[in-house]
Amino acid sequence: MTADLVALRERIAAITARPRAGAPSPFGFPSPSGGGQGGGSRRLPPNCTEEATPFGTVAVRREWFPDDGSQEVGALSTCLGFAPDELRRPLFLDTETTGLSGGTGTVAFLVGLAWREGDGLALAQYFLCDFDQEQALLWAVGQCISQAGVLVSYNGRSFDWPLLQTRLVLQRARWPSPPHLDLLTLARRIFRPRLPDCALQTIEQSVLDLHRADDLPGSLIPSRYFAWLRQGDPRVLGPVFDHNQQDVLSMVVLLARFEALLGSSNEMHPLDRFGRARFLEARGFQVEAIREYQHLWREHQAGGALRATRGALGLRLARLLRREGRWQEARLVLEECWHTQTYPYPAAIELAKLLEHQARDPAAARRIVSEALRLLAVAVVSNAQWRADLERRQQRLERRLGRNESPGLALTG
Amino acid sequence: MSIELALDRLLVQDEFRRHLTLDHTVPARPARYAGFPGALDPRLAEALAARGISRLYTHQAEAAALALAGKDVVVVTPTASGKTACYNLPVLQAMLRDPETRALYLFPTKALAQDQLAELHGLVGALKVDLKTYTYDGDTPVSARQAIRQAGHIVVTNPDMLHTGVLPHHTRWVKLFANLRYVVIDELHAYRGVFGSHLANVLRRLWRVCAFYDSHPVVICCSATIANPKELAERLTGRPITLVDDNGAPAGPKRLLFYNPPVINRELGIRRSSTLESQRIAETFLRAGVQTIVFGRTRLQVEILLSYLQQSLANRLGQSGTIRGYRGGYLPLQRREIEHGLRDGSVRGVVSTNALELGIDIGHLDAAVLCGYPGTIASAWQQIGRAGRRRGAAAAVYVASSSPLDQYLVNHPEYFLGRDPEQGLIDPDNLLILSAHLQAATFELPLSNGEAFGQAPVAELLRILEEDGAVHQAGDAWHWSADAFPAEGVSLRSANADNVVIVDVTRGARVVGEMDQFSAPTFLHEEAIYLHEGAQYHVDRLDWEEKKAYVRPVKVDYYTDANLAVSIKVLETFASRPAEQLTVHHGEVRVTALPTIFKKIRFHTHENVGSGPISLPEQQLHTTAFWLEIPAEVARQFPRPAMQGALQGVANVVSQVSCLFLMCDARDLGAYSETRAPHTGTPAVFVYERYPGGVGMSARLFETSTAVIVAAHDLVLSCGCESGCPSCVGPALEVGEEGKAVALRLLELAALVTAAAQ
Repeated sequence: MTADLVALRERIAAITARPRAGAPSPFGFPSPSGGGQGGGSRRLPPNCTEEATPFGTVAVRREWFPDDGSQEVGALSTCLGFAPDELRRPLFLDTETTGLSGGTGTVAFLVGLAWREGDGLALAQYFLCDFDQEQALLWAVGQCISQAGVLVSYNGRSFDWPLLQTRLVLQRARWPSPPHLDLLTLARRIFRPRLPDCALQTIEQSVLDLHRADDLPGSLIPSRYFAWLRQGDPRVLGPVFDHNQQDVLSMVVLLARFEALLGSSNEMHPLDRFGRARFLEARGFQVEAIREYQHLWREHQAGGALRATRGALGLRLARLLRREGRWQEARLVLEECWHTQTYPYPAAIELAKLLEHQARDPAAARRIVSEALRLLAVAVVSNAQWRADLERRQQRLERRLGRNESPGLALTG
Repeated sequence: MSIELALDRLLVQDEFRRHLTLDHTVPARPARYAGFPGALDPRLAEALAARGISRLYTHQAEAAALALAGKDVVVVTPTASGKTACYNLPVLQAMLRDPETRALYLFPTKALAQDQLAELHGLVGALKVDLKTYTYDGDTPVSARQAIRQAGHIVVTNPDMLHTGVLPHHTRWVKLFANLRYVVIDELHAYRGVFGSHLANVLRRLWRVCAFYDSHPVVICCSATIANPKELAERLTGRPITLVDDNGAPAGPKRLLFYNPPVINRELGIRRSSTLESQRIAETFLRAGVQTIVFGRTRLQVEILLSYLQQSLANRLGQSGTIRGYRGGYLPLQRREIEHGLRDGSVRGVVSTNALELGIDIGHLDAAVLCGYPGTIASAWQQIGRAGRRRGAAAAVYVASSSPLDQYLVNHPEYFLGRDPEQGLIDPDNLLILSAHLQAATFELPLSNGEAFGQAPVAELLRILEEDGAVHQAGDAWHWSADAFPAEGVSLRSANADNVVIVDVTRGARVVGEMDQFSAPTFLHEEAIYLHEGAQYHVDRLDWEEKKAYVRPVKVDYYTDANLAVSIKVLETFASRPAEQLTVHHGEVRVTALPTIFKKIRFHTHENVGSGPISLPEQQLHTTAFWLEIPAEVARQFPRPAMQGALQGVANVVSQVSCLFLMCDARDLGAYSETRAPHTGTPAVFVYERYPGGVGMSARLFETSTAVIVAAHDLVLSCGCESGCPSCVGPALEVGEEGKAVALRLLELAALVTAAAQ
């Protein structure tokens, strides 16, 4: 509104003087500037039909797509811990909302859902023609959710689902809570080493090779909805429905891609393979993760394309090997890191740990630490944490060696 | 060593005795007890007993009983009279009866919330039940928030957090709202003026949200002594409230002294420094081993007093650590340590800003020295209340500065001792404040057709919001329909979203303060010397578009004074009344101010050492005002030039006295005089509110105008200066040689005080 009192007063006066817009007209038709469009024929967006619910009607756009893609779920099930039966009945969900700031005043006005039906994919986009239909919309969406084996979303855990929960509280409604697979979490694990970000559209272009034409930017979506509410022009909504549909369909493709990625390593980008190994490690598949890291490590030794992440790769591999009790192998990896990397300090720290505790060679550990500190002292880029860690380690090793060595020194001296 | 000894040492000095304007002993008050309210849970009685409490004071018992019976209540409690029991008892009792019960505690600041939480933890710990109490404010880690929303039995927060962090996300607080039985509003008197008007609207939103979850919490308010606790509580909460003001806490006798430092330059009305005099008096107490608190008005003054006292007492007390400072800006841990030292007696003296006047627990001290009037009578009593054991004597000395308010008070101790005249005033229906919260309310829950929100023209406001695209009507309700978060744009503390922020460029762009848009051109124009808490800053640049003033600290021997071309237009007169031979009015005005040039004026000599133009846009303020009009036939009795200065003098003194009556800050009011007011052509003196639309202060001035005018007259009459000084109508340089005499005469004509005063 305005911050000017007089301007506000003048506008109030103008409204008071105007014939009352909100008053019911004698013919029972609503005024054009809003007002209850109770019952009867609402305007509908293109290709939408009205469906009945116990709470009045709701608008929906339905489509069906033939889907001959693989419906294998074994790898996903193994890696993620969902039951195969749940994964075979996914419900894909994506919402369009009146804002991104959250809070009770943000409404999901379009809920796109997709599920497998026969040998194809059914898509339903429930649309809120006006705010007073929300109860009906939530009921209809809830019906689909109660059928779902697993809910599949992209960033749904922190955005769509909490927002819908807020709407449920406000409408005093309840839904069942199926297991939830947020593809963003998975995408971050696997594609983060390769991609600048993990926005769905980035994934589409760089992983799925899908390219949207004339897509409506997400930031413009709320204003399109407000334009529909105020002017009732159905044409402004077409691109919103298309955007939502594309989001849902991309999830369908992405889920299948994840199954393939997790199940086999054919023609995989080495960075994705590294991401997948990190994912396996995080999920507790240590043996598999070691195998993958070792494969990538050998590839790197043979001059593979892993330059950017080889440091992280070596460290991860060594840490896992050490944890598995294979410290001799770990030592080789760390030594190579120590000798070849531009910033060998984390490797030096790991190597010193290993030399001290597993190889029981504190003198060698001290050599590495001192050498690392000398390098760090002249390094262009320094790091207080590395320095502190190395210095602490050096002091401890000095103490330890001092205790054990002094008689020896006396003998030789 | 004792308080009597220290007082003797002061009172044997002729010079000191001669300048006392009040030597009054507040008699000891015995404790009056009442039993625990019937049906008090035995576990609660046990926990209290474990903490040494076997019975309640009468006011605690009355408040707790009313609250348990479901009555909304406001308790007036002087400092350290055990007010927390008034709300903790009923709240804990309800929780013992039903563990699902939830309560919300509101404190005006985060520091107070922390302090109360410590106290509450102690009591809950003794109860040996699993009741979770948490603070929820800007400092609460994000990781802890979820748990607090789910599991907190008592959530302690502040109005700002309720406004932006809780209400707009109420669906995450289902457990709290669905089971909310008590809302505690402590330090009620802090919610005055703009802040209080905002809080009243935040509470309207809170009640809507509660109603949605079908809960109807009981409200328990605690207030320091003000004139209208019941009225303020009722206006804030929008509910009828029962007043409990029968204080049963005991107090030893207290000697109250008012000291007016002697005049050292009669012509200019300059007195000996109140800072140095306060230091001397505090020193006497401290040397006698009396635990003493000294209140300074600003942070700077506190630091000066502290270093003086530490220096002069270093040998005496062994280590200077036993005298500590206390003010905003000290780290929480440091504060806790000082509070603890005061309670266990290891800290012998403390110099504090008003930070210690609020409900922070520091136990009871023996003596208080007030260096200058803290701005309101309620604050003064709070500060005086810091001295006073439950048994044994205590003393409080008020040392007046030369400001007009100080001089009025020190010369009118009967006013101070009489019924407290200060009002906690708010206007919950200020259109700008209300409309901001109406948006936030619609965001939180759709507004039903015909639903009321305060006394606002809701339907019209909604139509405007609809035109602006912020709301949309569907079915039988109005829904928020914009991609925006309305609570974010509304600050509860500052008058206006468009305040000018003052940035110190030398200290990593630290924000040192802010100023309303209307005052900024006068004080923050480029090259201005801006005074902030006693420090001087030079304004390097004023970015009017971005509303930022960039300043750096300086030490110069001059100040700046901006010339403003001000005019006032009366838009509407709400009410008028004769005031003897003059008339008083209340209405809506438009104040226009155009800064023209500024002058650099050397301290002490007041010579003009430079000047420059100010090129800033004209400022307009639409607000409400109280004004005094001088009819032409009266004005004719005085020569024109004398009249001009006298009007300015009346404006100065009336606005100063108004602050006293309204319990408001001097910056909340503006004063202006016209020898020929455009709407009548006759002389007039205006006192206007600086917040657009006003928050009810000018209306109250109109209602109590006789008392205000009489007080203004008394202030001028009792001032010892010859022809005006900063302690009354303003310096003679400003009001002219005859200014004071004519001003006095004008005030006489307005209140028929001639007979009474002579």
